[in-house]
Order: sequence, then C-alpha cells, then structure tokens
Amino acid sequence: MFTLFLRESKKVIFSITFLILIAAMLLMALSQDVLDFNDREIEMPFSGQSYGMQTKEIPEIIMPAAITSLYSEYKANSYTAYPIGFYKNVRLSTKEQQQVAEILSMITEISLEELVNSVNTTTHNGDRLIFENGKELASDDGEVMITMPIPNNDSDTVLLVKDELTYEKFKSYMKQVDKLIGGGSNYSKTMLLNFGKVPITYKEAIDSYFMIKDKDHFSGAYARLFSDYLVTVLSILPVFLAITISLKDKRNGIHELIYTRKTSSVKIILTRYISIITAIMISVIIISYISNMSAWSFYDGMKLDYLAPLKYDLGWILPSVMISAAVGMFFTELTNTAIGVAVQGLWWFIDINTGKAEIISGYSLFRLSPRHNSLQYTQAFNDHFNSLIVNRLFFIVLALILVAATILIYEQKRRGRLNGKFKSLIKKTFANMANSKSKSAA
Amino acid sequence: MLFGISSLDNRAAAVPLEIFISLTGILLLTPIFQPEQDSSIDEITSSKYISNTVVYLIRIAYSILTLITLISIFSLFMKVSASDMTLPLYLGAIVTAMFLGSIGLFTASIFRNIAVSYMVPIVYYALNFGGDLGNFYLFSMMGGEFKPKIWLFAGSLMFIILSIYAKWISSGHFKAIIMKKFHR
Amino acid sequence: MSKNTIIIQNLNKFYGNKQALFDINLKIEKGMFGLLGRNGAGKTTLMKTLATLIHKKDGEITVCGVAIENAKEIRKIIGYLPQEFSIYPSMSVREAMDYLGVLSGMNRKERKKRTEILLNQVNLTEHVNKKVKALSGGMKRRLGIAQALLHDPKVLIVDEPTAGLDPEERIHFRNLLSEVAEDRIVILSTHIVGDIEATCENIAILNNGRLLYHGTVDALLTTATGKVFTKIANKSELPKLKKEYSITSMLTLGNQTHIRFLSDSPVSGAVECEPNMEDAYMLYLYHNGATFESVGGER
Repeated sequence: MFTLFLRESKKVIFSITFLILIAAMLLMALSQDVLDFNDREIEMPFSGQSYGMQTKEIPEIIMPAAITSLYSEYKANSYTAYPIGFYKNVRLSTKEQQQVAEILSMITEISLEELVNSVNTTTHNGDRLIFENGKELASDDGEVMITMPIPNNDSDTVLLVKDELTYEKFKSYMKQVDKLIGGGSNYSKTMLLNFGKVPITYKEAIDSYFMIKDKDHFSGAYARLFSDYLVTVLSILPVFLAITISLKDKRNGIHELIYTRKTSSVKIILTRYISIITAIMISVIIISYISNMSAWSFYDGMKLDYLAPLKYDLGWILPSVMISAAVGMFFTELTNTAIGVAVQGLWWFIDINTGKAEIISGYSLFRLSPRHNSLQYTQAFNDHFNSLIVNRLFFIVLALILVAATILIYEQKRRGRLNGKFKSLIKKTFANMANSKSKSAA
Repeated sequence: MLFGISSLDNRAAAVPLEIFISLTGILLLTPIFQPEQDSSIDEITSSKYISNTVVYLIRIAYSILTLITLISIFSLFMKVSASDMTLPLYLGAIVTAMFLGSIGLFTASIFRNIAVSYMVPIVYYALNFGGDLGNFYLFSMMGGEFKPKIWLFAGSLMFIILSIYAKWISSGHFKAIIMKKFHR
Repeated sequence: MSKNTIIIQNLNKFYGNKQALFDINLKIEKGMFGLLGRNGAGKTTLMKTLATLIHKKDGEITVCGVAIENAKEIRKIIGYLPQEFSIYPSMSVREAMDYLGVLSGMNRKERKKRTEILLNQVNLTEHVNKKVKALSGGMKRRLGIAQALLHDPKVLIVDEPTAGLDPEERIHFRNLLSEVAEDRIVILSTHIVGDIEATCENIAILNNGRLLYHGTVDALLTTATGKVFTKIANKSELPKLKKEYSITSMLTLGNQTHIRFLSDSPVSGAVECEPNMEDAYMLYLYHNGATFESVGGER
C-alpha cells in the first residue's frame, strides 16, 4: 500500500491544482496577517487601561435592550435579519405583527391595545432623512439652513420587562419572534447575546490573559487564530484537488487499464484519498509552524506549547479538509464531472456567510468552518470545547461515509455498472449546447 | 429568499450584486474553451475554415450578453423592489462578474484543466473576503467606492485578450505559420 | 483441462434495450485466438466482458477455471490492452510500467525484472526514459503489450491492436503477439482479415452480436473451396458481374479487369481457384445476410 501511496502522492504534488492550493493558503495567511505575528504580542494588561467591550449573557442587560429594539422594529414593521450573513429587511404580515404584539404585551407593561395603535402607518423609508418636519430658512446670502426636528423617538426610553418574567421564558419568547421574522434576526439565540454589551473589567482582562498564558501557553492562541482563517479556505480548496486527481484517469484514458488491475477498489480509492489529505496537511503543518514560530520570541522564558500548531492543524483543520476532499471524490466518481465544485462551493459559501454571525467560538454542529476570530477568549473556547469536538467528529465520520460510498461507486463502475449514466446525460446536454453555439457561430 | 433585495440603500444594494451576482461570471465565462479541451477535437476544429479565434470571440460575446441580460433582470427586480439601484451600480455589477469570469477564462486557456479553471477565480473571490485588494478589490461598491471597477474592466479585457492569444498560440494555425517560416 | 481454457456459455449482453451479444458459446484454448468481425459486431463488448469491465446479463464464463463474477481473481490472471491505449502522458516509459506494476500488486524486485525483460522483448529498452507522449503510435502499442504482460498473465486480451499502425509495424506487432502466445491464451480482436490469417489457428467470426463461425482457419478455408473464382472481364461486363456476385478483389490492367469473386456454383468463363481467408470470411458474412456492399473488407 505504501508504494502505491508514494505513486499517488507524486501525482498530487506535481499537479497544478496543488500548487495553486499552496499559493492560496499562503495568500490567505498573508492577507489576514496570520503568517507573521511579530507585531502582535499578547501583553499583560495593566490597571487603568481601557480593555474594550464584550458581550456577556447578563439577563438584566440583555432583556431590556432586546425588548427596546424589538419594540422599535415592531412599530416600524421593519426587522433586520441576516439569515445567511447578508442584510435583509423583513416586513411582517398583519397577522404576524399581531403575534409579535402579543408577545411584547406579555413581556412588557405595555398593553396590547397600545401596541397595536403605536404601529406607524406610513411606509418606512429606509435610512433616508425626511425633511418635511424641518423648517427651511433661506438667509439673505442664499444659504439654506435646515433645522432638524429633535426626533421624538421612543427608542431612547428603555422599556422594562415584567418583574415575574424569567430569563428562560424570555428566551423562548425571543425564539418565537425570531421564527416569525424567518431566522437570523437580532433575537436569534446567537444574536441575542449582542444586546449584552458591557465593558471588560480589569479583573476580566487579567483573567483572560492568564487563561491564554496557562491554558494556551500563548502558542495555542496564535495557532487558533491561524486555524480560524485557514479553515475557511481549506473547506473549499481540497475539493478542486480531489476532482483533478479523480478526473485524471478518465482524461488520460487510463481508467480501463487501472480497472483491470488486481488492486482492490478499496485500496485504490483509499490510497488516493489519503495521499491528497497527507499532501495538504503536511503543507498546512509547515505553514502553521512558520506562522506560530514568529510569535515565540515574545515569550522567552515562559512555557510555550510547541505542539499547539500541530494539535490545531489536526483537530481543527483536518476534518474540513477531509470532508471537502471526500465531496470532490464522491461527486467526481458518481458523475465523471466537476460538479463537486458546485456542491462544495455552495455549501462553503452559505457556511462562510452564516458563520459571520458566530465569529467567536462558533462551533455549532453543522458548521463547516468553525470560527474563533481572536487571539483572546480562551474561556469561551474552553466553554465550547465539547461542541467543537462533536462538530469535528461529525465531519470526520461524514467524510469517511462519503469515501466508503466512493469506493462502492468505483467498484460498480469497474464492473461496467452505473457507468457514466449521469455523465453521459450531462455531457450530451452540454455537447448539444456547445454544438448549437459553434454552429451558430460559424 | 435568503437575502433581501427590497428597500436597500445604495451600499446595501451593492451587497447582493457584488457577493452573489458576480459569481455568475465564473459560471458563464470559464467553460467557453471546454468543448475543445480534448486535443483531438481541438485539432479538428482548428483545421476548419473558420478560425477558432472567431468562434471563441463569438462565444465570449454570447456569454457576456447573457451575463448582461441576467444582471439587467436582477437590477430591474431590485429597482422595482424600491432599492436604490443606480447606473454605476448596474455597470459595476456587470464588470465585477466579467472580471471573475475572465480570470476563469484565462486560466482555462492556459491549463486545459476544468478544476483549475474554476479554482483560480474562486480563490481570488475568497481572498476578497479577507480584505481590501486595492484597485482590484471586488467588493468596493459595498464601501461606496466605484473607481476600482474601471480597473476591473480593464483587467477583464486584458484577460480575455490574453486568453484568446494563448489559445491562438497553442492552435494549429499558429503552428502552421511557424512551420512555414521555418521551412523558408 | 479447464485450467487453461476460457469457456463461454450462452452469453447475452444488453445495452439498455439493445442486445449486443446473442447467446455466445465459445471455447478458447492456449495459443492465438482471433476474433474477427466488422466494426460494431460486438467484439469489444465480448473482450471487455472477459476483462471484467462489463458485467454480463446472463450466461456463464470461466477463465482458466475461475468464474468471471470473481473479478478479483480474474484480474490476477488477465492482461488487457484496450482499443485506445493511453497512459498519463507526462510519465516516462519506465514510470508507466512501474505504476501499473504497483497496481498489479507486484513487489519492487519483480517490477524491475519484468519491466526489463518486457521492454527488451518489445524493443523499447532504449526509450525507457522517454515520456509517453513522445512515443510514436507503434511504440505506444508495444508499450501497451508490455504493460499487459507485466504480471505474466495466463490470458492476454488485445482489442484491435493493429488499427492505425503502418504495415511494417503491423507485421512486427503480429510476430510479437505470436511469440507471446507460446505459453498463454492470447485473444486478438480485429476487423482486418490479414491480422488473423497470419497468426491465428483458431478463430471466431462475430456479426451483429451473433457468432457465425468458430473453428480453425483451415476448416473455414475448406468451406469456401469451390466457391471462389477468377475471371478476366471486359469493362462492359463489370456492372452485371458486380450485381450478381460478391467481388473480393479487382485489378484493372488496360481494358481488362482481373476479378475474384464468390459464387455457390461454377460460373462459365471463370476459373475456380484456391480460397484465401478473406474470401472465406466474406462468404461467411454473405451467407449470413450481409449485403455485398456492406461486406467490403479492408486489407
């Protein structure tokens, strides 16, 4: 098996796709400033500094802020949502508005009647300014002065929740609201936390520093940020390599020669898969060490985790590489086309954009590229570590299932079953299109 | 609908155009050389009276026309949905899609490898999520900048010309001319 | 005995609704076996079925005692050279042999030894470092034979190997196959009578998926005895003769044309002559419903 592995690896390494993949990884690391950390020392905070803001799950802060926001969105009947990471303005139907009003009346002191009457009847006009209420005064020299009316907006009066409302109950109401808006709204489970903006205290800052020092041993924090960026490209790029390698046999007309060889389909596909993964991962490991070592000199004399890059490469990045390559091989063997690019591309695109909503410790089960876009927040990472493990294992298992399916398909094709039924269909349509194009061109 | 296209201001309207619609360029322009990817087919078509270059140019023109039609329909749809759709935005969207597509076309002309041809423009697209790429930044209109679109336009013209040139060099016509000179 | 024979019984094969092979029964023994038929007769389908590349609809096939369903075992004992042989163009001859040897499960020593012997046998030793894409058509075909023999298979399946070769290369190639057939079964499919005439003792003729003939070359020739005639004809006679008989060759010298044709009964003015393979083949096709025009062979 090792001999075959070497032959297959040679094919992988000397393909253009692989070179582009390496170049893309380097470009990504370079453009995101994670290839060289030499200006990003994690320093111990000193007292009296500003430590920035953070979101925190403090019900007393989140509940009133969320309700105030919901009230003003309700009145304008204009809800902001980011279902796949892009801005969307949602207008609810009368019935849905009524449901939102009911929920609001249950959690605030405002009565249902009052709520229904407070809805703006005029159409909301986006963010454009409306001058009707202002006075225009032309002065003698022709200069136009516009005085804006002071907005008499309720949004600066903070609404209060009913005393007896528990946070759990509140969250379930918000879940209903989010459902009405169609998901991805400010009241979804992840976005709700954004209402809990509080300043970071000195104690928290110093705790965070010691978490990085004692848990991550510094190098872990850098390795995590590196993985955060690299996993986004490595969730898509391996699909190209897998497709190139899988299409190569057919393209060079060598597939029948291989089919009639004694080597089993399991061995052929598995070796091919492993050589793709190995080639990618070795380059990832090398680049991750180049990146990580650039930060080591900051922490002379302190304990560093020298294996951190390797751990993150294998634990964080590898499963995404595996699934992406598996999708590529599976769809190529199934259809003899590069359709896998479209499948993985679409999945990746949606994942990257929805992932924007959970950029710190975003490890929900189906997250293709887990995010942790900061050198900080070791605590959050630890807190969600189990979900990350589950997520990564899920993708490893899924990848292996796809590889197994690829082996089955390959074996069937080898015996002349299933052979290019999808492909011939696609090819035919394509050839017809191309023909009519060339003909009309000529 | 996964994202909104109604009541968007100028910058918000750029989002679907630059993020989504631009990708149609890759789909439409990259596969143009695909039918001749097989070198034996290439040899046959190259030997025909009408030169391949003319055929390619016509196909490219078709694809760009299709692209313009698609973007026009989408823009019109946005306009009707009360988004702040302007002419620069519309032209910018076309140029962005064309630029991505021309990268794919150019790659295809050099490598004759379908996976690579799609890979390069997608990698370029992905890099733009990382940050501003200056004059060749794809998502400039989202930040209210229109100037990079001029560069993108020039860039896509260049890539289209280069890819046809690359195809011509590798074609039989070119070889024939060289051989003739050589034999003299 | 079945250890060294291929036995095909009642083989049928369909592509969708179209039947490609009808109830084929064949017994192939050691030595060269020629499978003759026009393009589209079903030769490649039969060859691919034997090479485990196509699954059969029904019927039974055993190759040297192994049932065809047992693909893994079959693959150990067969070598296959497809009609359109190609290999990764950027590999050198040596690399290509080595890669395919690895896939045949051979160890390093075996690969090295066999590669050397075979490349020598097919006269490619001096081209061992050449890239596959730089080989001529004939050299490529010879490489094809070498790769198919790499693991010393009991059965060699060669599909239309001489197509596209020039006459000299063709002769060389045939001799190579005969040499190879001394200690194994070699199945050669072709639509060119000359390929088989020179090399095979046993042949089968396939037409439209049906087996028309199965036996020795001599027996085939015997069936044509007394049915081949030559005549020197005037130009004016030609159209009539063309209409009535299947003409297998024609040579025009000045005003006169020497023709060779098939007829079931003696023809006045014509001289009976010794049949050759081509005559016999054409006669077979003709008797089985093929029209004169469609038979027109290649030489």
